[in-house]
Parts: sequence; structure tokens; C-alpha cells
Amino acid sequence: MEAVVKIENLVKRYGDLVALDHFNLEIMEGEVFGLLGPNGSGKSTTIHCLLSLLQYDKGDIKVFGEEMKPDSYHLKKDIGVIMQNVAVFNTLTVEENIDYFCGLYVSDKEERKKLVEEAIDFVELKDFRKFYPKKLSGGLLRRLNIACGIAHKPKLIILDEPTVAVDPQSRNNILEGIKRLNQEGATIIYTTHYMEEVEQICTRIAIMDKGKCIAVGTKEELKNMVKTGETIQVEIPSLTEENLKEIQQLPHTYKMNYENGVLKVQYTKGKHNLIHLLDYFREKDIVFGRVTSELPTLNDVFLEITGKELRDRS
Amino acid sequence: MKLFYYQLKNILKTKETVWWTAAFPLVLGTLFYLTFGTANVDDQFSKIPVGVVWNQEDAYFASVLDEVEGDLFETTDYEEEDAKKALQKEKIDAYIVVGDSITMKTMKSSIQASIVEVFLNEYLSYKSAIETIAKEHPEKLAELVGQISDDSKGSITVKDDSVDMDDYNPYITFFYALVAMTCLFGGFLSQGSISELQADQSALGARKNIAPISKMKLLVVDVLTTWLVSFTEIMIALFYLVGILKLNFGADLKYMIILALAGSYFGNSLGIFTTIFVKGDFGKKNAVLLTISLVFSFFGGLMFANMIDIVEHHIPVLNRINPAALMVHAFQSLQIYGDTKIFYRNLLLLMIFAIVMNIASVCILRRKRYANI
Amino acid sequence: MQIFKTYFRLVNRKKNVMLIYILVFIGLATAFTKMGKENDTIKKYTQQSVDIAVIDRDQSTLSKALKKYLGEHNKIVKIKDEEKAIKDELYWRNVEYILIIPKNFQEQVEQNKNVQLISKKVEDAANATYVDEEVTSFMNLLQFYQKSDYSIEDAISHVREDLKQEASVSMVLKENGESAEKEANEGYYYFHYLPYVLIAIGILAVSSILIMFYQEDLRKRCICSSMELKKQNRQLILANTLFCMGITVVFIIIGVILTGGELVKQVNLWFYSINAIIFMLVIISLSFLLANLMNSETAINGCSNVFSLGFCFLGGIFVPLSIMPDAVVKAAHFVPSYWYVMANENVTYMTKVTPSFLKEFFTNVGVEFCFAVALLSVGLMVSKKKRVYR
Repeated sequence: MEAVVKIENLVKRYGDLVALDHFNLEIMEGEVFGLLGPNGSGKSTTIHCLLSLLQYDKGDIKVFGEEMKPDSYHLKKDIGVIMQNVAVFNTLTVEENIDYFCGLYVSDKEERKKLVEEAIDFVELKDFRKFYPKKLSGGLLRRLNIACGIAHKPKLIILDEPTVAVDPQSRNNILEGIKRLNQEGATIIYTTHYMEEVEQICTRIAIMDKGKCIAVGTKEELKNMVKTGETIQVEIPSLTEENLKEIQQLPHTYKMNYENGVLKVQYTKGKHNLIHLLDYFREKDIVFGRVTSELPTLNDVFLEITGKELRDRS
Repeated sequence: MKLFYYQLKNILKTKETVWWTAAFPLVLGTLFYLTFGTANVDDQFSKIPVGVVWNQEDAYFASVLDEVEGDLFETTDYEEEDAKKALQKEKIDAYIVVGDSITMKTMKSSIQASIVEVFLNEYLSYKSAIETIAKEHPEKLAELVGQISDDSKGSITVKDDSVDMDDYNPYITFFYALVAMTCLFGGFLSQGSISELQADQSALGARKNIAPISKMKLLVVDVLTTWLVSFTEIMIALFYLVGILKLNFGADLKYMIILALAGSYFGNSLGIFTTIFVKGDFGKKNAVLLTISLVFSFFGGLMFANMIDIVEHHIPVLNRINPAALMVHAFQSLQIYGDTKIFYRNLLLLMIFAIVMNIASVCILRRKRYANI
Repeated sequence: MQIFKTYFRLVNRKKNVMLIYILVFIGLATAFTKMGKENDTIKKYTQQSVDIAVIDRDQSTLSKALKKYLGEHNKIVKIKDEEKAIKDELYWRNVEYILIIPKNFQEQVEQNKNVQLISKKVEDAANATYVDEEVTSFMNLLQFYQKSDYSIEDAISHVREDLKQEASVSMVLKENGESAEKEANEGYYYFHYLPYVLIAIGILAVSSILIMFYQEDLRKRCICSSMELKKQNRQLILANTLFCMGITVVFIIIGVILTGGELVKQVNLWFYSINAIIFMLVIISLSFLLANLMNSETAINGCSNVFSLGFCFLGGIFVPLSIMPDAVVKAAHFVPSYWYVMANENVTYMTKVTPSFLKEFFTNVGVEFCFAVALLSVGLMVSKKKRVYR
């Protein structure tokens, strides 16, 4: 499978500040690729360089197998962009806005009309087609923003933090929409700092920090990178020191905490940790209340990886 | 008071507006200065190139011409054909043909040609007088000639007791009008900040409207900060024009400060009033302020120096309500007549108008309950 | 033609604002025309009579004769003999010249004493200085007679005779046989001041639309699209041009209406129009460049003001070139309005279309066109450069 996007050794400096430090990335066809990272990690910078909006100091950027340049119009034809800020004409209606942006890609009137209709349906803005952007709520505006970016049915869609300040209904709509687009054959690049979204839709994820890619892989691969396999929390009214010591001895335990009647144990790999723990309680006749077991989230992955970095540095 | 400080910072951050309202009087002022800043009344009367065709000898005329040679005229002798060519090529403004009678030829009735004409007419009348006296009282002629050269006795002169003309630049009203326009344009600053106060104009406005702080307080802070900024800009402009370009405004620092205060306050109030009164988007409010200021400035003499004059003769009441005219007049009265009465009166009028607008603005603001946000 | 179409959609949405501008500037153009014509007639030196006041504190034969003489060439206005009244009348321009004849004037003249008359003038009235001349001539001649022992009455009558002497003036035609004296008609004035209006409205109108296309994020989106930048610019400029040409035509029509339709009969109208249209091309290029450089609507408004006033003063539209120092006139050559004025003068003084006229006219217009091309190139370059940020 050809890489849709291939970024090699990308370097971008702003004076002394290194925004992108030999950044590497490869995105395959059909993926929903998440680009994750804290603010200032270089996500937007990467996107801008990828689109040839930003001048970079060193590196190779290839899209659809060819070098990406400001005048690579044949490549741009298949790219759709949805920026962080809503970029629409305030004095044009929803319909007119989508028509305009679609028109930058598609010149045939008939075809464009059809595409605009489909785009409006897709983001469910049918009831709002004659509205002006000023009258739309944040979520609806975002939907408009998206419609403007995908109306021409691009093969590669890049979204830069598209769900900031969006109501849950719209957010859901957007995420579902992206999934559908992916099913219809588009490759998606998605930057955000909302972990839950990434968990929901991304097939592969790259974690960025300070201009470098510090981890890349599928959800599982990433979670495997992390020490914590599982976290179990149990409500226990009382535990003795000895109990605690013994619990600590259970297999795969690596961290433990007992506070305010709640026991929290973090395990490394292992599938039967809960059973072992509960067995232990039964053995010792320890009364317990609610039990929860959580698998690591990307949040944990992120905190741990970047936390590690920080610790190492200091 | 912290509010004040933050708002001030806020305004100064809208760099573009501040930049343009501050820079434009400097840019235009410099341009004005270059084109006519160094002009003088005397400039109107520089040496006139005149041709002379001697078809006959005329000692008297020749001696008279000699007198004015180098001062009023610069004469060149020609043959008639050459004189005509020189005239057509605009090397000379007119030429005199000295024959049985003295005639003059020119291409157009310009100021220069008229001066030559006047000169000739005078010569002829003097000649006629001498001829009359020579005929009727020839014995007195010799005495007369002697007496004429004696300037000490019996001279009749006309003393020009007008305004001190030394430093006077006839185009100074353009500069006055420019300062007036700068004051009016200060309104752009207040337009920007008041928009932020209106709930239906910006999210910031909505937030400010909900805050438990009294609207009046916010408004006052807005007014004071924009006033301060535009006042500073006008002082900078004045300093540049008077201090650096050394134009003679005929006014002391004290008066300039007072005028700057009043002018900037008015511009401020105008900006606020147009923002609140005009319904529509920000662009529309901008447009209204721009056009109003331009029209005021036009009638205050920005493009035609004698505009105020003409208005005075046709629609004098316009001069009493046009803020630009009021300011220009105020300057003029100081400059030319050293009269502070008109100065203060005009500025007072200006302030009254401003305050009326303020009251109107507050009333409208107070009653605002938004139908549509 | 997506961009082209959208451009006009935006114009339509902003039509209220556009209308305000157009109406106000039509008003200004009209006012300019009337003012210009009036001002020019004031410029003729001697033929104008001046509003004067004569304060005769002597009331003698001589003073009355002097007053009568002045009254024959000027209009005498009565004012009070009070310092305040004198100041006020001058200030409000009810009179432009005041002559004060002191008491015992005639007596002192007869006794050969030094006498002084006092005159006060409004500061920049050239005509008023001429009245001083009239007074001096009269009195000098009178002195001739008085010193030759004539009686005052005789002297006065002789002087009046002498002053009737006039040199005969004849007019010479220009090389091409035309009169240099051609009275400029109203059309001249209208078109003379038109650049101010065109620049102001051109920059305001065009930039306010363009700036919507150039909002940062929107612009980025357009750059990312597959429509070539060249094509995008082409459409924008075409739309601009059409819009501005429309405005120019409106103003030309207004000009024709203002001058009572007379201009339509003359071929000069075509040339006035060509000049205006080419000038507008310059403005279109300029506003395209400005929209690419500036970021906010307020900045554009500022530019519109500075350029409209600046070009018009420097180019000799509001203030004649003759009073500017030579160095500045040379600098004026770099301003398109200067060339517009030159071309306009060509047209005004033209009575029939000759090859020499055409050559002169089209040279001037050609320079304007070069400005348009140059500015456009710079604008396109800036637009291309701005495609990629740093």
C-alpha cells in the first residue's frame, strides 16, 4: 500500500525555537490517523507545512507519492482542509458558502450542485441552508466548516482540532461523519487534544511533543507501551498493614494506594488480576464494596510517555 | 482604576486603528508642507518675464522700464515675430510694443498679464499728467521733477495696517482643517471600543453587559481612555506641525492644548454616537463616520481654502454647527485677530454638541434590551 | 467563475454601505465642481471688483473724490467707524479692503506735508492689493498737479482724465491657432476633481470586498484549494475592474447631468471619459495591492483617505502646481494624478481633434496606464509571496 502522506526529516525553526525537530510521519491509505499532542507540540505546524502553507527549513513532504509544493494543484484537488478557526464568509448563507468553496475545486455547475446538496445532507444542515453564519451556534458553525472542506469529496481530509467548543450532539455528528467519510474511502488526518475522540475513531495514532514524534502505532500498540495494564479500585472499609503487604505481593502488581476506604491497585500485564484480588479478599474474609476495573486510556499513555520524558530530563 | 488601565492597553493593542489615526495627520501634514508649506504671500509676485518690441525710440518709457527691471519685470528685447513666438512658447507672459502708442499682447488674461497691463496703464496716466502740466504750466515742470525726487516732503503713502504679514502663509487654513479632521477621525477609536461594549456587536460586549458592574462605569472608562489616546495623537500632530515643520499657527501652547482637548472630545463623542445610533454591522458604522467626517472637513476648508468664506456668505448657520469649521475658525481668530473670544465661543459650542450627543448615546444605551443577539 | 460570482454576491450584500459612499461622493463631486469654477473666476486679477469700505474722516473735496473714484471700479460697502466693526467686517469678509482717510487729509496734502492713508486687507485676497495701487496712482497723479500749483478741484478733474488712459491689449493665439483663453466649462471642473472621488471610493469599495476574501483562515483555505492562484487572482481582478468601471460610468453620467447635458454634444466628453477610465484602472491596481498588504478594514479606510488626499494635493488638483516648489513638482511626476491633470488640460483646451492633441493626450494617458500595470504587477507578486508564510 502506498503511503498517502510521507513526511521525512521535517525541520521548522522560528528563530531559536525549534518547532519541528526532524519530524517523521507516514500515513497509509484508508487510515484515520490521529495526531495527538499538547499545545505547542507542533501539530498545527506540521499540518501547515504539509499543505505548503508554511515555509520549512528542511525535509521532504510527499503526498500521493509526489512532492508537495505550493503549486501542486493536481494534488490539492484531492485534499480537503478543515482548519481550527471557522473560515467562512459572514455575509453569505450556509448554502452559498459551501457552493463557493466547492467551486474552488469543481468547476462544472451541475456536478457542483449535486455535491453541495450532498454536503449539506451529510452535516445535517438542511434546515439551516439560508442562514447566515452569525446566526449559527458553535456546533452548527463547525458543521458548516466541515461541509466547506469536504464538499468536493477529497481523498485525503485533514482536520485541525475540529471539535473545539462544540455541543455533544454536534460532536457526535462530526465524529460519525468522519467515520462515514473513511468508510467511503477517504484517508483522514485528525489533530486534537481530546483523547476520547481519538479513542473513538482513530485507527493509528502518533503522539507528538516538542516537535518530535515520540510514539506511533495503533491504540493497542500504544497502550502496550505503557506499564500500566489495568487499574482496579475497590471500596474496602478497613485493611491492615499486613493485608496491604500481601496484596502488594500479588502477581503483576506494581503500584498500590489505600486512602479514604478506597484501595487502588495498578497492574502491569495480566488478564486475571481481578480474580486474584477477589480470591484474596475471600480468603481473608475481607468485606468489600464496589469494584471497578479500568483499562489504560490514551490519557494514561500520554501522561506516562510525556511524564517519563520530563522525569528523564530532570 | 484597574479597569482604566486594562482598557487603555486594550485600545493600544488595536494597533491598526491607533496607527492610522496617529500617522495620517503626520503623513498628510508633511505632504501639505512640501507642496505649499513654505509658500508666502510674496510668492504671488515673482518677477514677470516680459518682452519688449521697440518699433520706435522712447526714452521716457525706457527709463521707466529700467526702474522696474529686476524687481517687477525681467525684460528681453525682441523683434515682433520673435516676440510672438516667445509668447506662444510661454517664455514670456506678455510683450509690449512701443510705437506711436504703447500696446500689449498676451495669450491669456492671467495675473501676470494683468500686472503688465496695470503697469502700462499707470505709465500712460503719468505720461498724460506730465504732458498736461508741460502744456499748461511748463514752468512748474522743472520744479516738479525736482520735488518728485525729494521723497522727504509731501509724500502720500498708503500704509498697510493689516495683519502682520511677515510669516503669513496663505495656505495655513489647510493645516487647520487637517487638524480638525484628525480630531474627527479620533472617532474611529471610540467606535472600536464602544462596539465592544454593545452586546449585539460582540461576544465581549455581551459579557460586559452581564457583568455586575454598572454600565455607566464601563462607558466612562471607555470614553476616558479613547479621549486620552486621541488627545495624545492630536498633540503629537500639532507638535509635528508647529514644532518640527515650524508652521506658524499663531497660537500658544496653552490654546493648542485646549483646542486639542475639545476637538478630541468631540470626535470621541461623534464616534460613540454614530456607533450607537447607526444600526448595522461595524463596516456600516465605519462608513457613516468616515463620510460624515469627510463632509464636515470639506466644509471646513480641507480641499478649498476659502470654503468657510463661501459658506459664510451663503449659509452662515452651517459654519456654526460644522465642528470642523468651528475649529478652523477658532485657529484663525487666534492667528489673525488675536481674539480669544471667538476661540472660546467656538470651543464651547463644540463641547455643547459633544455633550448633547453623549446624553443621547447614554439614553439609547440605557434602554437597550436586545431583541436579537 | 466562482470567485467572480461570489464577489458580486458580496457586493450585493454590502450594497447599503456602497450606496452611502456613492451618494456622499456624488455630493462632494458636485460641490467640488461648483467651488472650482467659482475659485477660478476669482483668480483673474484686475477685472474683478472688490468689496471695499472707505472710512472718510476728512469729508473734504479730495477725500470724496478719491472715494468716488474707488467706487467706480469697486463696490463700496458702508461700515461703522469703530475698531471692532472694522475687525469684524474684515474677518467675516463682508469687505476685503478698508481705506481709512485721516482727518485733515486735504489740508495736509495742500500743505505738502507727509500724509499717510491706512489700508486694511483680508490676508489672501490678491484683488485687494490692487486697490492699494488704485489709491496710490490717484494720489501720486494728484500730487503732480498739486505741486504744480493747480487747485484741488482742477487737479481732481485732470487726474480723472489721465486715469482714463489705457494701453490697448490684444490677444495672441497659440501656435496651433487655438485661443489660449478658452473658458473652461463646468465639465472641466467636474473631471478635474473627479480623481479625488474615484480614489476614495475605489479604495473603499474594492478593499472592503477584497478584505473579506483575505481574512486569514479563509485565505488559507483558498490557497489550499486546487484552483490556481493565478486563476483566483484573475477572477478577483476582473470582478474588481467590472465593479469599478461601473462606478466610473455612473460618475461620468453624473458629470454629464451636472453640466446640463451640454457635454454630450462635444467630442471632448469621450476623451474626458477615457482619461477617467484609465485613471480608475490605476486605482483598481492600487487597491488590489493595498488589500493584499493591509489586514483590517480600518487600515484600508486610513489608506483611502491618505491616498485620495495625498494624490490630489500632490498632483495639483486642489492646489495649483504653480505654487509648488520645483523639487516637489518633479516628485509629482511620480503620482498618477499629475498625469491625469495634464491629460485633462489637454482635453479642455482642445477645440478640434488634431494629431498633436492626440499625441499629447495619449502620452499622458499612457503614463497613467503604466502606473496601473506596475501597481498590478507588484500586487500580484505580493499575493504570490503571501501564499506561503514564514
